Amino acid sequence: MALEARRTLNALVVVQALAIGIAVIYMSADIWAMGLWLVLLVVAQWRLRQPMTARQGLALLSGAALWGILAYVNRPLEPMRTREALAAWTFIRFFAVLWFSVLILRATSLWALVSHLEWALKRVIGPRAAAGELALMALVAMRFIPVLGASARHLRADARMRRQLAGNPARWNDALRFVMPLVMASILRSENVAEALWTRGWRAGVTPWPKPWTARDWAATGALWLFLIIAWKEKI
Amino acid sequence: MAMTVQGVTLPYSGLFIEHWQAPAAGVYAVMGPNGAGKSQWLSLLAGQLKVRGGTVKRGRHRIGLVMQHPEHQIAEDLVSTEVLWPYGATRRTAPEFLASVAQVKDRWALDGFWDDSPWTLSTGQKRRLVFAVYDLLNPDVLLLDEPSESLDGEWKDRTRRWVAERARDHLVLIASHDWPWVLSFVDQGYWCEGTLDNKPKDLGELWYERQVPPSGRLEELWRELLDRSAPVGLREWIDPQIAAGQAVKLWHWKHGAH
Repeated sequence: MALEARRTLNALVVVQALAIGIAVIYMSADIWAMGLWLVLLVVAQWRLRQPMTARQGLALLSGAALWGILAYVNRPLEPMRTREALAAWTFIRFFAVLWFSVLILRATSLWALVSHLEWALKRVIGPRAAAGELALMALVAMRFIPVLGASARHLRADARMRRQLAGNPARWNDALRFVMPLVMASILRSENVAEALWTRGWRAGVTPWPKPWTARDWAATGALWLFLIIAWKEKI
Repeated sequence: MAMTVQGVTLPYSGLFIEHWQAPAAGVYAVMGPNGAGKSQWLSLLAGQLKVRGGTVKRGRHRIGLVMQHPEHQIAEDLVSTEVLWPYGATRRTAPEFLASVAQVKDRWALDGFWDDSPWTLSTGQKRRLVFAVYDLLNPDVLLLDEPSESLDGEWKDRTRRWVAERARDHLVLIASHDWPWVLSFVDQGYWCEGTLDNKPKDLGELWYERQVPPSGRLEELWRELLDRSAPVGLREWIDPQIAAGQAVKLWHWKHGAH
């Protein structure tokens, strides 16, 4: 049920949920409230049926730990106990915020998010090419970065294999051997991507035609803002 | 020690390899539908794919992998540098090494673009360049992923002769969808779909058993003849001239004319 509702909601509702969720989690100053958010995150993770990998868990922990350490280091004049409490709170908040963001982004198509944001921006500022170009950059980056990562891995593996076959020890600059081909392959690929976009009718100055805004989206948006007001007034 | 793979499930494709032991030498095809895990299997053998569980033993074999996309194996701004960079300066001046380089240049016709950028080459030429690189490196086990892709008829033929020559004293595994090309010179192969056969089978029989959709009218006709137990070979359809000769013989046989 929840999964179906998630699929039918407009991507702009998801953007609002992301912003409001981050704000509420970050504002929380009570242990019980933070505990509640963490329990809800565990439930959401279970409902999505997408178990977190060890690498993702480690990334969340290390990202939050970094902010916790920074909070501790940046208050050198505070008493030690205050600094420790602040660092611990910062760590927990960032951990919950990052976890929530990852869940929301995994449950939504990034392509839909960007194209709906482009639509919203063009509704406000008019169908200007700059808005389309910004969206294009985001979309191309999302498509390109994983592909480039895979290419880099192939190239590094090939360099290592060739050194071994030639009977020579690996050199430090072998690890950088992927840079030049990556640039060249990106240029070649970008031509293909541009051609594919153009033939599919994409134009920087044309407003895209995203999913229509429904009564369900109005209800979800209202509930989200009500939740934000309650959380703010009640200081959850 | 022989190369072995035991109890491994590949990610994404889900290909399960219960037990596989590499033959000592020869050329073997790896056939199967798209996404069955053929390329992943070659990457696993080359040590480029890490898996959880199971064991992969490579012994002391020197393994080389020619990937499906030559762009993943080109990193230099000159064809000559691309071929020579893995070798030390001392080795590059050794007479026997220079003789090997000359032989490889000649085999893959690299002279015409030896001092050009590999990025200006066509895909077929890039593939020839990567073949040349691994020809010179001379691995004990050569893994070829879709080697005939984007090669013209002449270079498909030359590549076939090179592989057949190597296979006399090396092991070559070829993952491909190009049935006519592999059937023209490879005797045995592995089928890859869900699980990987632990022993190679006759490639002609594999082609017939697996009932892949025919790539052309001649293949379809041949399949029909085999279905009707006509006295034709499993591989004759790959060469239209041989197929035509066989068809004439068949006509004589049918009409009792000798």
